[in-house]
Amino acid sequence: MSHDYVAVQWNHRKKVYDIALWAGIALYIAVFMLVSIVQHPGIEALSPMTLLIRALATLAFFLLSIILCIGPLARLNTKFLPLLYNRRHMGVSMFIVALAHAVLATIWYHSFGVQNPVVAIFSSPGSFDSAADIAFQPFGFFALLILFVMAATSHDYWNANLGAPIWKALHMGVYIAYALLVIHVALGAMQDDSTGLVPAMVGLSVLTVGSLHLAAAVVSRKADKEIAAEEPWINLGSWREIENNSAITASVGNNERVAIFRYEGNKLAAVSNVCKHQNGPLGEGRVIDGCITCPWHGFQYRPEDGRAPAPFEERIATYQLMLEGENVLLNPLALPEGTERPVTEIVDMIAST
Amino acid sequence: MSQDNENTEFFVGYLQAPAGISKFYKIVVPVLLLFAMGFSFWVSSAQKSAGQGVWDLSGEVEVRGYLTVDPYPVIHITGEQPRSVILVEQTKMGAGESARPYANQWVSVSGFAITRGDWTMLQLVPSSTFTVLEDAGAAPLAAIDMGEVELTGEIIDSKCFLGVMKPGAGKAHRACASMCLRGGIPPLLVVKNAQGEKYGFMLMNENGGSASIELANQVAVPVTLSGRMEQRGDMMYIRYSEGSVEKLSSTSLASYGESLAYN
Repeated sequence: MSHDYVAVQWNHRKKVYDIALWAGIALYIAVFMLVSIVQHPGIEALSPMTLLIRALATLAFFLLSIILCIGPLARLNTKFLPLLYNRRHMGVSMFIVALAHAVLATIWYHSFGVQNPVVAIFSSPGSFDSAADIAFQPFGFFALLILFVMAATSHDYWNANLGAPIWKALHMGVYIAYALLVIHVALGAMQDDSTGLVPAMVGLSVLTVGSLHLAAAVVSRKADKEIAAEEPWINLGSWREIENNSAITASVGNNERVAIFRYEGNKLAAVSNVCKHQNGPLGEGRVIDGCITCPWHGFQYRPEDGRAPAPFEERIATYQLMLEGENVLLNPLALPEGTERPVTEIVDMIAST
Repeated sequence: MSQDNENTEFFVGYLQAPAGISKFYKIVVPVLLLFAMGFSFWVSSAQKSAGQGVWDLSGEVEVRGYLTVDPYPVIHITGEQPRSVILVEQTKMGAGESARPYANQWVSVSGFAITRGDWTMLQLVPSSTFTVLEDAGAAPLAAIDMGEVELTGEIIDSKCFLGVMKPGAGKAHRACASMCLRGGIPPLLVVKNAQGEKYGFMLMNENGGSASIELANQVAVPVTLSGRMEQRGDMMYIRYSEGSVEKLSSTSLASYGESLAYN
């Protein structure tokens, strides 16, 4: 959408989201510290700084795992869309927690010595002879760097100016950061752990994130009608398969995906499946108030011409449809973004129902 | 704007949430908060003890005794309760430079005490000054040769391990241990016997000098090393043989890690 940029476009829902999120963060740290203080009192007490570093580390990993689960969960069940709506705030919060961990660990372990603290991160002793001997700090440093770039460019200003494809590619870096953090933990905290807790925690995270992504990919692929782009008109099957105010999707080659919506009961319109905002999956959206509405952040487009309603200016590609009896035929050649074309009406709807 | 009645579970941030969604989150949010607290409890309660080291910053204490500086600065308290007190600076630095001008004399100096079991360390502060006491002759500190040994354990920096950082051993602490050694903090080899009892040995090189810098890259991993053990005052030293330190990839670091307790 086109608008003047402000730091955060607060609304009641975002405030509730952030209050719940930061209440969770505060509770996590408080419980972590309290349990340790009770369990190891007096001269057995662990250093408060070490406790805080550990609390922040496990919390950041926990939050990142949840963040990575939100996308596939929302694709599998629309009930999870509210978590996705403000996911960027959770991402930035996770970065703040990870940064606090990194700063405290650098002060505690790498400062007050004969070497510059940042240089010391890269000159930690080690070799590649065994897992116990490999330095783990650089993996965390580079993961934090990626998370910093993501947090710094998370605002819609960067989204709009970099363009959704570049912005999204940049933010796919989260998977590299996650992999680096798994290595960071495996070579660091896991080497000190004799309880099996750290491998269990990391394994559970990787298994959950991995299986949810796999499940979402399978469901998404199943829903997709695969057709060759070379054919002039492609039969997508009966319009009855399309729920009113919803869409089916089709892949038309070259990674192009088309969303075919039915709305107002008897109207059909095909548009690009890719939202201009963050490349969200429009085909998983709904038609609300006469507009195709993205499931991620509610960006809207008119089905008639693929244009956002005024005052917004986003445009998406449109496609031509026609009916052959009950069957919906799609012309896989995309029309220029924002091109108006005749809406296909199911004229014999009542007769054929 | 009103939401389509058919889309009872489709959420749009700027519209009123469907009733089904609101109800779902009235349950899900408290459950997630409880889950976060439960997860935190699980992770925190799995932490092991880091031993009974104490870094007492409540007040300075004065130590009086005979000062030796090789391989590391140590004040030997004689009398009915003899004790050797290792001296370090307030950061990740040994106290060799500060102490050397007063070597082999009876001195008194103040600082913060770091104690763990039988071990005592004194952390000097900027205002710490060595006062030379009346010369009572050299202290009877002859080294007693205990013979050749080969030991398996973890090399740690004595300052953190004795109480400044808890835990002050293991992989997470490795970079700090290395930095401390490079700053001249005495290296300690911590081993445990078949009964699980832990012992600490000060490490020095074959010439009887400081081994801090040369061992800085071999801290916080399981190692074996060999050399001659000797007793000085009430502390045990190992004059380790150059080239005998071998990192063990087959041994779990965790068994020598943060759960180590000396006393």
